[in-house]
Amino acid sequence: MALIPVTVLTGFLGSGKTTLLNRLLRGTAGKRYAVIVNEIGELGIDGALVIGAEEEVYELNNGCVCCKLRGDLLRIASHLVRRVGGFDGIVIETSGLADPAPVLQTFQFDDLLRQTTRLDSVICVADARHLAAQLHDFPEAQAQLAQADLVLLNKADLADEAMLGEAERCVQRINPTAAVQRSVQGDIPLAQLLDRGAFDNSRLQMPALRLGAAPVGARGHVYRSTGAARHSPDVVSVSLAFECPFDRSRFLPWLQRLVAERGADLLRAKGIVAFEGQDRRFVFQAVHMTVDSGFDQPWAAGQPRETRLVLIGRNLQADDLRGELQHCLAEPSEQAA
Amino acid sequence: MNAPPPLLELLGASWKYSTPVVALAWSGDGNTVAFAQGDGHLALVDAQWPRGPRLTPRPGGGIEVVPAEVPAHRPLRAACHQGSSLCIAPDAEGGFVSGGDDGRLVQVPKAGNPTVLATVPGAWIDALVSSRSGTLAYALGRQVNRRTAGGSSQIDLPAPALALAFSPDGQCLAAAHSDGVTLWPAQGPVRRLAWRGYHRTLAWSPDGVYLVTGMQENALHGWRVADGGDIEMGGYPGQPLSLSFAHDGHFLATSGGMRPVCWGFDPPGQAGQPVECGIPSRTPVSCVSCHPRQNLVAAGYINGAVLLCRPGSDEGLFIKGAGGGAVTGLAWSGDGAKLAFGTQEGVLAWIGLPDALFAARGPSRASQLTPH
Repeated sequence: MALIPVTVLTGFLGSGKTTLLNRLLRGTAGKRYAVIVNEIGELGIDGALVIGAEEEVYELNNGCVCCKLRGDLLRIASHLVRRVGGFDGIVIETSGLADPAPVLQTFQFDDLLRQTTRLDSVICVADARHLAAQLHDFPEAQAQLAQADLVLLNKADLADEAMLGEAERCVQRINPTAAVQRSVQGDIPLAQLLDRGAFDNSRLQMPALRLGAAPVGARGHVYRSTGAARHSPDVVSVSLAFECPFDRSRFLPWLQRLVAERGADLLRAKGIVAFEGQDRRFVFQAVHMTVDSGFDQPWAAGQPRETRLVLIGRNLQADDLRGELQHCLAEPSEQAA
Repeated sequence: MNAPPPLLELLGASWKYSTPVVALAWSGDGNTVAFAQGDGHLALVDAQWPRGPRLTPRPGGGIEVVPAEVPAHRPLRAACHQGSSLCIAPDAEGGFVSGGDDGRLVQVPKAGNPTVLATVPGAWIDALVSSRSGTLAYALGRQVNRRTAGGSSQIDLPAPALALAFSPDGQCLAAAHSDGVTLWPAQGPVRRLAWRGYHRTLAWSPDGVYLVTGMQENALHGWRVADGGDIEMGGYPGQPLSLSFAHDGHFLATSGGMRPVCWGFDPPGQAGQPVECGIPSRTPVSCVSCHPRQNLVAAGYINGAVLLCRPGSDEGLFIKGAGGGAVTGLAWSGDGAKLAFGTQEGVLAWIGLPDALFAARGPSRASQLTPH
């Protein structure tokens, strides 16, 4: 039986999220969505499947502070999956100040929901004019952006080019893996919003690293990196690339340790990794300490087998991470062997 | 050597619909089983089958199946809800009550013809139970309602209700929610049993001494109801959301592992670790149900298989092989003569399991069973 796709829609008050939801509810190409919202009053579509859920976040009582669930969402989603056939997907709206991670973890930690649904994407709707200020004022906005795989810079018609450019730079700084789209009243084709497969490792896209300057001498180096490295409560992203393959028996324990020890700070991580002696790509994604990983398609013949990692979170030091990872590279002698 | 066909093909009847089975219940008299379906219907099946398959002793040992002379009664589908039925319970008149995500509470006699008992627009009826005396209780989010012939009353919980269960004497209603259980006795004040975590399902021991919840944290939590004493039970790889006490209360069987897990309750903690039963498996158990008279556990798996096993034994007897989606409901009729189950992919089935099948050496005995 096909898994039900789940889309999480985040965004601040006034960003145009409700307009977008209403468009979704009017249906597209005969598709129907069950929409779970925290404020049912704002939506008014007759006959649509709109369900109100309490935004009750609760810590899973397992000793880990970053394992959180949305309890009421679990109750509602567990019922919804029994009604398969009545709709084509589930869309979950979170309130303006909510961290989307507990929503994702609700679907990742529950046996029944894992068997019946698949996370499809996290879409963050932002008001292009106010994004920079909101990121500065609210840590929640940073978390929303960090989790997103698509950012809609909405109300683009009301913003000037400088504002739009600044908003795009903000997204790039916090989450270089997110796709960015400018929109007016959420006028993006709905097909681009749904079935994005952002949590599908076989469809994982890694951004090209955007270096401030040309990659001088890149050929001669083993790695390159970008990323802000500073102590700050702010969410930052660290992008790392390595041309040498990794030793699997060193890299995997490193990844395990990273999510176990720094899961609370690590909002999102993605990577495509080359292992010595392995022709297929190793692909992983993490939300806090939940990792989904596996071997994927083979590396393209004749293409460089370049490892790329993007880590998004708080208190991440690019230099430290790079140093740790260098110890996980395969030995040159092994490469020769 | 050919494996014997699963018992369902010899002694039962099954049907398949395009909508999941959400839950099922036997009528109080055990003659009818009703399956709540994801498309808002109740499928009612008359499980009286006088000219159905029979067992006779075979000369030289074993038993033999005499096939049915007529087919089993087909399900009668009654449209009850605009959306999905979410929960079902037997009523006092041999019929059923169903709660749905259209906010309706619907009564369905065994002949069909539903009548709406209550409607709460915009709400979901998440949980519904009935006591033997006919008291009905249902939950809409945080609100719990209790209906008797004399009228109805309600209380509000600290969080949305996730499960309801009447104590065996029908006097006390338990409601599970996050961070504990609320006890609502017929007489006296509401009491709270607190334990941090997310409590999703409930079971009373048959003597009403213990109350156990299945938690999202891959654990059980139990209370001695009289004094609120805590019992912790954990170590599950998955969520134990199906709980069933043995008829004599000696153990509690649960889902949440690759095999049914049985915890000694005679008293709890005495036996130390729980024991698993049934054949070793790579597929998680989704439902368990203890036989109402015998030391037997029926287990449903997420791959659709249904097995009978005995606590402490590695043997199992296949009622149904894999296929048809996860088992979403499993229950014995009150007299233990019949077992019904349903799946996520729309299979609904019941099977007659006369005591003769288990007479000599337990379930393995029935592996000598051969078709006529």
